[in-house]
Amino acid sequence: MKGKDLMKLDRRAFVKLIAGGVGGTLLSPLPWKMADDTAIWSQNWFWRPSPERGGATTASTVCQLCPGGCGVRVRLIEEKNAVNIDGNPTHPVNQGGICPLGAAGLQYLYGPSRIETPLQQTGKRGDLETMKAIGWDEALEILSIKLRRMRQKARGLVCVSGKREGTVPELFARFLHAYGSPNYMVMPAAVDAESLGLFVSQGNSGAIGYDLENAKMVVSFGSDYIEGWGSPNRMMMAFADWRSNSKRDRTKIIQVATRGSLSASKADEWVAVAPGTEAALALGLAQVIVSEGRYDRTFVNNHTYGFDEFKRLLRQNYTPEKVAEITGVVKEKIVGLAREFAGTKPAVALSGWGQGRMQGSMYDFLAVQSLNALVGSLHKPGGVTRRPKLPLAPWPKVVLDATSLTSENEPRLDGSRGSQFPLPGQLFYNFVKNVNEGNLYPAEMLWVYEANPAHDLADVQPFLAALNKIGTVVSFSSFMDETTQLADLVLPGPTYLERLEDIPTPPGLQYPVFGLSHPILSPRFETRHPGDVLIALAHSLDGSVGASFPWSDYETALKERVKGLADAGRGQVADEPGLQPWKGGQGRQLAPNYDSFDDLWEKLIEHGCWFDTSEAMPSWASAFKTPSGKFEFYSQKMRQVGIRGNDITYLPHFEQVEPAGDPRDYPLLLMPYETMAITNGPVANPPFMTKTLFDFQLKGNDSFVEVNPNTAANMGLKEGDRIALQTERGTLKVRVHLTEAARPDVVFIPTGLGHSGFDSYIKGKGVNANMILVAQQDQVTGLVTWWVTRVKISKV
Amino acid sequence: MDSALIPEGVKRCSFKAFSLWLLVIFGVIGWGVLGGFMVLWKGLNMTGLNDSFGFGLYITADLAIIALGAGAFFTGFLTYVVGKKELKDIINLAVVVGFICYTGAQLVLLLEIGQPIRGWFSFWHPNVHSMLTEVIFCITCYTIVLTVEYIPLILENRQLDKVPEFHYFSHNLHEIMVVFAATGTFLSFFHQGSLGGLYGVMFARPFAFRTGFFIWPWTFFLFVASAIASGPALTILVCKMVQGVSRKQLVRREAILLLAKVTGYLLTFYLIFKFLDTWWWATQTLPKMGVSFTEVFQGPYGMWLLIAELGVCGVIPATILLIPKAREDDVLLIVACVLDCAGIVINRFVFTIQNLALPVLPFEQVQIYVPTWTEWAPTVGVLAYGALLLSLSYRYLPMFPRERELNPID
Amino acid sequence: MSGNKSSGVRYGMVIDIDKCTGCTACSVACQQENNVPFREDETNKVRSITWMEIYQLDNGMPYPEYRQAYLPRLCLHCGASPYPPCTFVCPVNATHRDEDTGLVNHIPVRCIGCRYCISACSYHARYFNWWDPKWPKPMEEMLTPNVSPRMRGVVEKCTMCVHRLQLAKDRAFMEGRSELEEGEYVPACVESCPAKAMTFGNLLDPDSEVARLAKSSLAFRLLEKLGTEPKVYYLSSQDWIHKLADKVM
Repeated sequence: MKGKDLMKLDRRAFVKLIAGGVGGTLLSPLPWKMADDTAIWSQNWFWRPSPERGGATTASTVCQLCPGGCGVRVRLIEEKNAVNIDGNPTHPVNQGGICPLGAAGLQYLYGPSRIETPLQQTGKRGDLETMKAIGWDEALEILSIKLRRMRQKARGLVCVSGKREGTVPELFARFLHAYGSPNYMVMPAAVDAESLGLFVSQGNSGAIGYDLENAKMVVSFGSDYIEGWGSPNRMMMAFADWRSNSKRDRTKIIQVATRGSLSASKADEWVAVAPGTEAALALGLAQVIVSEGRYDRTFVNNHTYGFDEFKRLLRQNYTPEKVAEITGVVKEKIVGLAREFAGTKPAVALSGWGQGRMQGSMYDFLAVQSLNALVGSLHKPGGVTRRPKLPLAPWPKVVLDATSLTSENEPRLDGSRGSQFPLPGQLFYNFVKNVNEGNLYPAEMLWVYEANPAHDLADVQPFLAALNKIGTVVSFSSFMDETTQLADLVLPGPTYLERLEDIPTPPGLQYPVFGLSHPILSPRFETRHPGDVLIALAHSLDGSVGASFPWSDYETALKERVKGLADAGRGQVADEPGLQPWKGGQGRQLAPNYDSFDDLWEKLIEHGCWFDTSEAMPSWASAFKTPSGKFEFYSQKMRQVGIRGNDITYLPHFEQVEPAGDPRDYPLLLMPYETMAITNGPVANPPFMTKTLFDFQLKGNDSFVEVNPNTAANMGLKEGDRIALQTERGTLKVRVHLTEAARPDVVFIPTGLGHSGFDSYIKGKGVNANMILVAQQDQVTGLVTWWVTRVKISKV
Repeated sequence: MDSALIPEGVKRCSFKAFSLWLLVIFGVIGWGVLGGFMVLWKGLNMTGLNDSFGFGLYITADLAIIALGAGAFFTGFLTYVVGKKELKDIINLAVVVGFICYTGAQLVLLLEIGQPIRGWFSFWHPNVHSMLTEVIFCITCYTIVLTVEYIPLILENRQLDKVPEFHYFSHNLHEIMVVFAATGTFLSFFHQGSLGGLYGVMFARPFAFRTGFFIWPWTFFLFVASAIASGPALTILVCKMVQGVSRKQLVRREAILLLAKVTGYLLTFYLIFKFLDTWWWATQTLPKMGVSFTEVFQGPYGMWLLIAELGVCGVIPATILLIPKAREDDVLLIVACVLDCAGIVINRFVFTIQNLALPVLPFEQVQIYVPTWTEWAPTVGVLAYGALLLSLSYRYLPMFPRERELNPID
Repeated sequence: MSGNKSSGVRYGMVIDIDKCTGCTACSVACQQENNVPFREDETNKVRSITWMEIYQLDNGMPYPEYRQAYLPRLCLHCGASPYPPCTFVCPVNATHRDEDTGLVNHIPVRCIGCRYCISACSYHARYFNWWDPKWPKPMEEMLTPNVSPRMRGVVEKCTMCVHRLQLAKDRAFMEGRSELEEGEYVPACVESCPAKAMTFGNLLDPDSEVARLAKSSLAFRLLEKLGTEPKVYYLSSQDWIHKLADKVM
């Protein structure tokens, strides 16, 4: 009984205790407050970075990651941390749009592979351990002493610039001129073929401009028009424009190409041609147009020269049957396309393979241009014209001293304008060849500006070999790229967001644009503007080199040129969104929206660019500077400069380039391809962009080649298989991606991957196609093509 | 050495043998703890999970364990609420198995979430619409119930029972056990259901989505049914296993056969509705979502899974358990229970893995999931944890009330 | 689509696949705008965070009939009633749809990382932070203060740059306006698109460009049969692309 009582008591006490305790605690604020605090505490993650807060401002400048010349806006926090880049809506070239490279620009500014101070290689070239950081005074002193010592061999100074136009490349060229070297060179590109083509057919130097926005039909001969060709954003905008038009007046796009790229897929029609035969198709179209009398008689009769010879050649070699055989395109398609091209006004044909990084054949360019000429699309709205020159003020003439005077007539190391290649071409590959073969004279010193030839040059191995024969290599790069790794002296420049520089009209544009980039934040490191470096260097040298640089700094020199714009009294600073200079045609006067040079300068800094529509397309009287004063199908200019050959040499024609390698050893063809998601410029793919690659393009550190499923099946290859890709140049290990985009028996390899420089986010990703491509030189112009190489595949 | 702790009147193996056995168990648990520690320390990147497989082995194991742990609540329900007194033989075992399953599942769940220290947010910031909230609430509450049910058993340990407070406390708890049994049944019903609801409500996932009744998709009820159709099977299996290992009869045959019979009926009941559900899903739900029935079986996750789940591990065990002659055969009974449990594991597997492996966007490919050792280790570790708890409970607690009676020591 | 009509605002997007050039600028702009972390190796696509993911589609034809197209896929901010597939499964209210705007948001600091929402989304629009996000030291300076970097073990996804909406609203408030004008609030991806293939705006405003385009005969949505009611529409004149939007029996 007692036990039971105790039990009862206990039970009640037990319940009371529990209930009271729980209730009391819950009624107090203690658990709730503590839980809430714990909740808030557990939301923190203290090692997660906290971005600095502060007022946001926006600065406009111009992107220089490619020659596209787009306006960008950079968002800054407290005017020091750049946190975002987007397109500048007032810039007519990109209208607020931005490409992935431009959008990832901050990953360069803040890239871990930025070079912070000048570096001197104290050990073996290429050994990063022995690269010593030095001060600017010491660096300049080292270079200055070297230049003084080699002044008698001044011609041995070679400069290669990746940037082709603007005051900085001009300063480099000027320095070499004043110093006494003829060897200012630029990185090879399709522009080289264009310039020569314009020179021989129209007698003009300079670049080409396409009035694409006003065209009704566009036939692209191998140009990946939405994948980086020309000014990429401008092209994508133009493309969107073509697609926006209502069905009736929608611009028709024809892509002539070997690979089923996006450019091919997005075209109204994709004409798949055998590798490297785009120009043959162009000539096939020309033959149909001529033989059916569909050409623009007024233009051809009045403003062309050598039409009969051209006609004869077409009839002989480029009948639809013959072209069908070369290109693999059926005859009916050739005839149909020709009729459509001739029947649509205005229609324009594009040339420049891929993104336009390959020089390509001048004759290929001429073949496409002759097609434009035949349908009367030269210097017409919606056609192709000459890019207007910017009215920049000239600098004073270079002052030459005894040394530089004597070297004025020295042959160039690239053989351009020499006996073998009399045309005024840019022949960097020939320079490489000459250095390797020990021709002419030694290259004592190589300067590299805004270029990374040790990675980007297709068929790069001869260049790497040539570097061993060059005395000193100086890099002006902001990044530890492959070329800079091999440099003896590094004079790091600021990135584009930290420097003042002009960006003249982007490639392919039909109206002039002058862009100005300026430092939107103070330089992050001990970098120095190459322009300032050159001026300081010139001043430190004996003779008249210093006298050729009568400026205290780069800004003064640049302003002197820009004064010309102000003085010209035309054009406007682009300061409102939606400007479409191509609308309404060229030759429309634009009243300047600035009243003085200072005002112009200020507005350029604020908005980024000046543009103009005042200059009309050239009149027939001024268009052609050829001996005949006409567009020359048959080039007399070529004869004039001393090119020997038969009639065909002077006419647009197609030369089948036999791919390097014995077909018995290398049964397949290898073609590189380019995409917007992988940059091919001197800067490597930033992490943001690499992230967007598909896992059938890059997986781990393996990159993929595209192979047609049928070809793969014949070889017993499956998706993802690892293979060795062997050409005459060497072997690369890649994996296979099966796709019907690939032409049977052709292997497509992406370019731009396989870096060994830069940082851990960039290097080691995929292979560098340039290592095994073989460049082939044209024996008349010295230009090279590298689009097709014979290859052997073996499973590993 | 530990004889003072062993219940009176029963025989246990030598302490040496028991220690060796514990050593093995601790080895496995250690491996599991290491795996779990790696995941907590380095993050879920240590697992085979990814953005396609948000759920993987952990969740599959959790769902399976919880379903199989339903033996506890259902046996409790039959014993206390329905009043099937013969099941008192096995109720303690059912509770221990249930406790193991639920606590083990929660341990794994802790690893499964990316932010374990925020695990309690579902109480602090609950989203009442989420099936997962319901699951977490019910599981937590039911674990408490199971603990309450387990405590009196622990307190009945020979030494603990000597403490009067413990004795009375345990006695008191025994008296109100029917309340806990009822509460447990209620809670279990809802969380077993909401585990099914978890998948059934994924209306953007054609494999998982099911139409339903009121706010509950059919999977809600099917998961309840499948859990009660397999939980007792596991209880039988564990009981058979303990009997096998101890080479003793611990539970009267009637208790096991009753449980087997009930399991047979429940499994049949479940299967009927599961077949109906599958038929409706294949002919109505899927087509409406733009998917054909054959399309949901891709890659390694083929039709064989369906056949295995509903045929081999469904119809066959149900048949065995329904036929008195068959279920009275020990071998057949064990086969039936194993198949029954396997079928439910496959069911939870397909809802978790196959569901996520299937591409929903037409231009995507089927994904394949391969768990890493850091997923296997804690999963196996939980099994070892179960073995540990079971071994300890068997050795030191009067888990089987009839043991003395059935195995008199002379 | 009940619930979110009262405010008269339901933000949505139209992406013209025909105009999309596959340049991936939208994806890069998104990463920059939202402090999306990156690692040295991002090639495991099922563990790589890309709020704006780009798919390569093709017509399945042999060379040279082959055609490809890119399809940018962000969070589609499903308009399904009463809830999108992801929000109502979240046990901790870390994600929900703002019925005033129709935007589906996600609060990473609330998220417990259970990944139920990831499993519930048929579009793979949600991503888990499998690793501690880490930036190379200098790149921490380029993190925008408008979007907090996330931490390991939580889910994240496209927010339609909702912080930009907040900024636009603040600006409008300062100027004494209560309504936003069209184009005042635009996500980073739309802003970046060089081909102007993306249009963003209020789907409920009949005068808006986005509403006009969404009603176009060329418009379609992904997996429409699921009833998720995405607020991201696609345009294409190509039949084969339309066919890839939904599974067909």
